Amino acid sequence: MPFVAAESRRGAEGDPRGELGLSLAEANLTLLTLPFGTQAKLGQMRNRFGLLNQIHSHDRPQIDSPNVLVRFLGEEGLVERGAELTWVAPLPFFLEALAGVFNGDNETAFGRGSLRSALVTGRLRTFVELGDTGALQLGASVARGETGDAQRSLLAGWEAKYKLTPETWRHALLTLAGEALYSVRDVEVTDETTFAGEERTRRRFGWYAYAEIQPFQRWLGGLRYDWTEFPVLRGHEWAVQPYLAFMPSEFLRFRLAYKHSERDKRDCCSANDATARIVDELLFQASFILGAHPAHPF
Amino acid sequence: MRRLVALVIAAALGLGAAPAGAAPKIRVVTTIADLRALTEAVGGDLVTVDSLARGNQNPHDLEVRPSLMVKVRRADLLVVNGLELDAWAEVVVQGANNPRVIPGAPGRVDASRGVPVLEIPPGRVDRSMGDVHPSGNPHYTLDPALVAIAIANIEEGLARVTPEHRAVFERNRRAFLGRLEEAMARWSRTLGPARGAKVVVYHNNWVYFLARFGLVQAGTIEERPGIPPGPGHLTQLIRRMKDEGVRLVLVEPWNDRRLAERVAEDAGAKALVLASSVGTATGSYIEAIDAIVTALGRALR
Repeated sequence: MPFVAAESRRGAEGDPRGELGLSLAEANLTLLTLPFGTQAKLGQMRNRFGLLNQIHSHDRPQIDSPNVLVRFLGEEGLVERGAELTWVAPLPFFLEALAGVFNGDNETAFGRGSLRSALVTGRLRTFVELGDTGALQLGASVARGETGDAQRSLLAGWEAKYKLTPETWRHALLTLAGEALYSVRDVEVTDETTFAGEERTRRRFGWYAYAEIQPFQRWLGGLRYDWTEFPVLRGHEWAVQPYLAFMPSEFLRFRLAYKHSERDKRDCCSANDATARIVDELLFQASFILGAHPAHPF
Repeated sequence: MRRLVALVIAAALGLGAAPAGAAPKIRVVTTIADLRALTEAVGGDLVTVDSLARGNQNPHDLEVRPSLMVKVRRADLLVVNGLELDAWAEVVVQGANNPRVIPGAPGRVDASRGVPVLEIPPGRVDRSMGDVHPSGNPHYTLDPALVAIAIANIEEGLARVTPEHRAVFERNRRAFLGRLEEAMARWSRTLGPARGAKVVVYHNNWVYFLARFGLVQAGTIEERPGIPPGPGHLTQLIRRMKDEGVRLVLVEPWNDRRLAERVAEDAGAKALVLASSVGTATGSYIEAIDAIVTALGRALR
């Protein structure tokens, strides 16, 4: 009887200059036969923090990641080395609790890269069926560790996802989802006159929500709204993104999106080696699936 | 509030699952509704059975919901169809944290074990062939004769987790086979006059059923399994249907019914929506096949 499931994923990504980079996206094993309804996952993994972090970028509902996740967790998101323990309660409804300990090597929120100042995570997730057609998932997550400058960093997240799937339909007609993050981070600032270092606490908030409608098997349309503060600097940004997807089959998908972003300052962020206060982007993605028919998660 | 907390604790401890004095029932989860009905036939009063996919859901690509994990979390036995029809079940099992039903565990049954599988691809399988099942066509539960093998596997699994009830399961299995034999004679009589009739199917689900009752599959609306058809394929199919005198197109509730009706109309045939699985929570396997045979017999008259 197998008692371990192992997973290894490699990622290949091209940059705008046409250079291809290969990386180890995930390499972990799951112990399947632990007692009391528990399971442990060990190795390098996308942390189960919030709604989207655990999902690889090509499987996410939109081409790009929501701004709040990029600002608070970086382009890669939370991908750490360590262990996660989950427990599914033996209740008539779904309730999953998760606790994790990681080395904390994230590019923005947690940067110590050591178990001595570990990143500790937790998540509670529940799910209810609303009749034969509706379903709702709710979750809350927390992550506590230290930044690369050995300053305290805490992230709390809340998530909700609702799907309406008419009887006999193979896909949802309507999907509504959103996630909010609250960051508490200590930073050291230098007084410009005395040059003395002083510790300050930054409390920042951000969220996104999207609605998707798929009246036909091959076509899907949606709209995402982003609003987020910057984790350290003052100020905020917002963005709106309508998008369209065409799926000729279950193994091939084309996505097109237009994204309009506005920030209250110009020098907060850069993309494509440039900075701007107002940014308009056109995004296109073609994705295909090789191998076995994949499972469709909620 | 206190009452609610007490209820939650009682549920967590498994209290209230059986009346005082009564032996707790074996909790079985099946991936598809046909296997639920077959497990109920073998397990009788000793089991409670729940299916992950409802009869009106396409079992090929069921959405993996946490509510499915709740069912598997508490299961003593998990019965899968196998042959990659319900590969999504592995994701459910992994999220359910129940070591009793992981692959290879005593509480795991693959009902396809020993089934003479049709349409095993002879060579290499790749995505250009569509959603082909490398181990062969997985829709064997639509052949009433082959379910004898499936229920033998189910009986073996039930007896593995509760050996003390083996004799009861064996008695139930034999009784079910007796009822199935009687029904088989009835179904053969109903479909006898239609032997040799050609039908077109939307997806290649019906090959076992058609072969059993001497009907001929003249084509599929899907050009390749799971891939929507192109206009060239449909034009060719309609021409062939006219040439060969095909009078019926079988379509399942989750298929594109309008497309099937258009093809049928253009070819001078009619489309018949048939559920290829036990439909309701209480339906039996024999009732489901009864409904299919009656509808087909009427349509091919």
